[in-house]
Amino acid sequence: MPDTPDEELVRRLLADARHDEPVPADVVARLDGVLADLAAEGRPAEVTPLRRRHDPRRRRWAAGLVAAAVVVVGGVALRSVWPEGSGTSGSASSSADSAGSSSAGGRNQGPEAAPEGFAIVTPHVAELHRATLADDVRRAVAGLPVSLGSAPSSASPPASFTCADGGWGAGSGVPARLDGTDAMLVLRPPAGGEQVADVLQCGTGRVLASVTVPAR
Amino acid sequence: MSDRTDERPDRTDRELLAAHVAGDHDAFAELFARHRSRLWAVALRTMGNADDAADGLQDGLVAAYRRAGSFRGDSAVTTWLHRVVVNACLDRLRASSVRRTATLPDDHDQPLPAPVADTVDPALAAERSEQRRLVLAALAELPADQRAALVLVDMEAMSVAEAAEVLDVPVGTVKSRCSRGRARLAVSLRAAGVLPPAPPVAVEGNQDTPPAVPSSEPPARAPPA
Repeated sequence: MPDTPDEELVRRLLADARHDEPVPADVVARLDGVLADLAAEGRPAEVTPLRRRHDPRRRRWAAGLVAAAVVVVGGVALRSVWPEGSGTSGSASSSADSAGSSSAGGRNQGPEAAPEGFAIVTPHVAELHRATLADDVRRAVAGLPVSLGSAPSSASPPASFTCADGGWGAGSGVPARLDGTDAMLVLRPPAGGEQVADVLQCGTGRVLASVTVPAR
Repeated sequence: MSDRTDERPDRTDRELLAAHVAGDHDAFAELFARHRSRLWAVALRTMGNADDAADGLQDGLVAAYRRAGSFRGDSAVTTWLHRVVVNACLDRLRASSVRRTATLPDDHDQPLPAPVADTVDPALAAERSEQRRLVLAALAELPADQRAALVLVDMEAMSVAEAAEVLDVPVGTVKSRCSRGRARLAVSLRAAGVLPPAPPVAVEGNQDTPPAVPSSEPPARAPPA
């Protein structure tokens, strides 16, 4: 179908508004720094939960500092309901936490932010279906160790389950199949008696489905 | 979309990516540097401001660096890079539920690049700058998925098929998002005075149907009894 005159005008205006200027020097410097840190890690194909490094060159800080403060306060509050040691923050992201030089940047956290722990807490694969997701998740959660806080640091899913790390974020991971496709069910830290359960796409960490269930 | 985007007789994008996965620490930097400008442009137009664009681009950079091993070679490396960056930007937008109704793009006050002509009419330049500002502001009001589609297709001049690959949606979805996005932009830009007023709609056939736009002609009245 040919464009309407309006569409054609809009297309032209958008083309005129294309950004053709070079990347700002401060952004280039920031990205170069991130690349240098990634190279220093020496693990190009590995995926770990993303974490922003502290970089004094970075952006206008006012909003970021406010966000970091909120995360700190939230982290303190969450620890009262999400026991420490429930994830593998001591393994999966220990280098990022201890060295303070991780160059990732996906979670918008400053250096003071609460640690993000993630662990696969069961070797069993949960069968999930979009049509019955809430019930399926509840059933999967019911089969988990009574206290996620005392769960083993990490369980190994069966060999038939292949799911590239997508940067899952904080929570307890349950290998899953969503309508037949491998995925990762991540039970987020509970809050207010509830718990968000995200079904994430393998390799990308994109949220395929999400449901809120009563906290364990 | 070609895998070699410059004229230098050095490694192709695929070769660089493979070298990176094999442990060549310089390869990814070289690859990213090749495409950084366009990736930045996409991030900037998708996010609407430079700070968020830098965050999105950094997220995409880290994700691409670490997930390079998952590249299966079923698309061009540039397409894959765009996909990772656009996804990172969209994830940020979804996560923050940013509504940009009150913010203007960072470069709204920057003048347009100088036209080819030697002399620049200041009034014309100012008009174009204002027009561009209004276009970007209207673009920022669109839902993120429509905005991303328009950025790729109308701004970056990607084919619909390429944009579909980047966005990982069917071609028809990209067409639909573009069409709906342009329609919404047309309304916004008409209200802002960027587009001319809509022409009167001609009504054909059924004379009993009242015209959509009031005619300048006085309405026909029945003669008094």
